[in-house]
Amino acid sequence: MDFIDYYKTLGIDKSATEGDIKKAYRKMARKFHPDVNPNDKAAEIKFKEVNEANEVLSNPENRKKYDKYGKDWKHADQYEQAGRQQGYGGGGNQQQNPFGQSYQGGGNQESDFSDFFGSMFGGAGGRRGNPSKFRGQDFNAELKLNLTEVYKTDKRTLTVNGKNIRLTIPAGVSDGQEIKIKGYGADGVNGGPKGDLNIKFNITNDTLFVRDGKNLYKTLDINLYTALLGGTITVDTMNGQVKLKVAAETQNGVKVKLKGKGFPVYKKEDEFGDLYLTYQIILPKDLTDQEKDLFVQLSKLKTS
Amino acid sequence: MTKENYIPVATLCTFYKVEMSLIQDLDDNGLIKIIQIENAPFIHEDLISPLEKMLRLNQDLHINASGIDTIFNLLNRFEDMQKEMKTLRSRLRIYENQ
Repeated sequence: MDFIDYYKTLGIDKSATEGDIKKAYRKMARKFHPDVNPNDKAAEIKFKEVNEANEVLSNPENRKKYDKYGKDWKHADQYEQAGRQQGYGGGGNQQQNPFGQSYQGGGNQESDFSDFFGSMFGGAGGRRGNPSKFRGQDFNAELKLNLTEVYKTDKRTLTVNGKNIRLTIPAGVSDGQEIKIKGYGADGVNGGPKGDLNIKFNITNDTLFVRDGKNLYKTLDINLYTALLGGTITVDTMNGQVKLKVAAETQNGVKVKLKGKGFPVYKKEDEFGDLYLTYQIILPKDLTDQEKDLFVQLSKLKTS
Repeated sequence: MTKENYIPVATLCTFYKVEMSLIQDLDDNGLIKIIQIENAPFIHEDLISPLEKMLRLNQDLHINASGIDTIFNLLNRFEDMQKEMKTLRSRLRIYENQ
């Protein structure tokens, strides 16, 4: 394990008093607390580091060991090590932890695992004379898919906490979208209802299209002659190729809309967005002498 | 109204080791909703997650109910802005590719 400079983590020097440590820790905690930095992994990591530093430095015994042994301070006393392992995250003494509840970091707060329900799972409910019913814990999962995979409704089997769950992924789901599957979380306590399964989609674009909601966008190269004289080109769409007529004298940057060739609309069967193509006219290169002559003639015709 | 899906505030106070006055304060600020069932205060189970977040802010960072309300409002605005930024980024990609 690499040496972590806890003093540096808290932004204090080695001569800091207990008061300085407390002050520095509180300032850092306010800045990096995961509840005020939602979906910020970097802040979450920093918060854990700050907590770990505080747990060590706020305890005079541990601080002394840390100052003496550096990164090996944990091995200075096996008994203390056993005590520290009861702590959370990077290992700390729960009694030194100023946080009454352990934090369930990241994600959607509304769907975080609840300490309260978690405790009930631990058996607290069973100790009561008249046990209360509690809803089961919510499960959170992230599903990585490619854009082509969400073009059509797909069936998947997910394994969440050892359970296989058959899932229908409706076509048109968006990147970052979350769906809640009611009753697919953990079992309730004392006959309480089951929790929910929250799935967040992480969609990677594996196509040449740019997706904005239900519409797709693409820049399409066409040659000069087709642009000038018009013609028919073959265009790739998400569901195969289509033939497209290019009007004569099409200008560079012109946009055309292919109605219904975009992305499916989420949970709206057979409804699709549009595909917008922007023409980019490619000028010919490596002209032959004959071609050059012809272009010269053309330019003379235009200027005369 | 039945007790199903509702948790007694007294149970929550014991579990989280918080004073009833704090829960009442959160209710007064419109952050949670306490309902009375058979003359005892209860909270719906769906509010447990946000309540835990409020209690963490209170216990970890010493923020009172008004402060928590302010933070929640700012976080909501922050979330809206993040969504908007994501949409705008997605739109920007269309023009970057041209």
